[in-house]
Amino acid sequence: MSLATQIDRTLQASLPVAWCFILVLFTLAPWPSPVLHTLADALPLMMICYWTVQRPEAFPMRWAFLLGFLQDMLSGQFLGVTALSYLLADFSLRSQRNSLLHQPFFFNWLIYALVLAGANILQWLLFSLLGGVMLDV
Amino acid sequence: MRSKNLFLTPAWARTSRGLVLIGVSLGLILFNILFPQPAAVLRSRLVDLLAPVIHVAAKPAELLASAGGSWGELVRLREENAQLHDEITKLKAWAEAARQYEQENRGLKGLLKYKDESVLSFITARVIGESSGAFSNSAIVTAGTRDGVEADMVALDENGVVGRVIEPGDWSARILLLQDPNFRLPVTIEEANQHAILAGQGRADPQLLFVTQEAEIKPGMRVVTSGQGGIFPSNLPVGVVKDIQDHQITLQPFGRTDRLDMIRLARYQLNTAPAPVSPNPAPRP
Repeated sequence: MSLATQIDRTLQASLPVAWCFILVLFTLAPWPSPVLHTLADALPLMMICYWTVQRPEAFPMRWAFLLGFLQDMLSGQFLGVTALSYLLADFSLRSQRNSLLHQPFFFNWLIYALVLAGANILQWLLFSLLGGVMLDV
Repeated sequence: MRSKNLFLTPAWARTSRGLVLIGVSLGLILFNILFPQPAAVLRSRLVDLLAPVIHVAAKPAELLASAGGSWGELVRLREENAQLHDEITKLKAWAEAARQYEQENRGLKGLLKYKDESVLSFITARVIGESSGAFSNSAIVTAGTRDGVEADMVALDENGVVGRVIEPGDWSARILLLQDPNFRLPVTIEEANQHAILAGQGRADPQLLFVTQEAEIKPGMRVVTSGQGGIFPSNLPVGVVKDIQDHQITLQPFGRTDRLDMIRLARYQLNTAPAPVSPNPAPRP
């Protein structure tokens, strides 16, 4: 195998994780409006959902955990909370992959919205539990 | 096919891997509860390490903010100009009153042998990362312990308090913003002369808790730090009372709540005990 082919394959293999890493960094960027902040917060999970369903072999489950852990570390939150929510989202999508593949575009978006809502509810429950107060959403 | 073989991971193997990772996540949460200090050190080390990358990743947001800002600026300039003319007239009257108060204040301080809560040191730092959501609100700045940043330094922008330093790293530091649900700050509602505790509420406006006589509080009243708690000095501007509904008093902060750019981190000489007033001070040895 030539060096160019090797580089090409390595880049292809690292593309899903690299994208997710960039999107995790974007969650910390000083976006000019709260709406953009909310959108940026939702992007890493969207990407995780996409790669988990479309190319699971290029996006092992440990990456969902590691990206969540990285986001917890960088955003100063409780360690493990985002990691757990990303992991559960990845786990549930992976187990239902066969029924999610080759579905219409809007169906995929609906599934993503449900997963995002589930992950946010889990985070809200955990943060409320750990903080000892019911947080406003 | 390589990819097909890899995808065909047995369900039991996938489940067991998932369960192990879920266990690790729960272990991390437990670690954070039991050992908050090492967890904070870990976080600040990683932020230190990735600070240059975070800075680069913030560029698209900064570009967007500057593009949007210049367009919006053109629209706002005309309105602002008219407002500023009105404000100048009012401020001239206030400036005169302030000069009189300053003179009176100087005289009273002299009488009381008042010890000033002065700034010991301050550092201006650039914000390179913001985490602003319903569950946590913090910012990362490009100054750390090597620049003199310490835990519990007060973070201010040009208008007032925005937070405090919680995790100083070598080259960067994390600021807990006053919107964070874990942020608490003892404050005074100036005109009502009442103490309260400011509590961050995530995306919603911060609230004032433990107000004894709520009936006396009116929207528009100025809120400043009370100096209790041993971290913040007294009389730093915090915000104004925004609304009172169903026994919930919300605050409109003076400081910016998003799009922070440059902030000042200050360490103050606090008055932990009031200076004793002695009619006949003892001679120095």
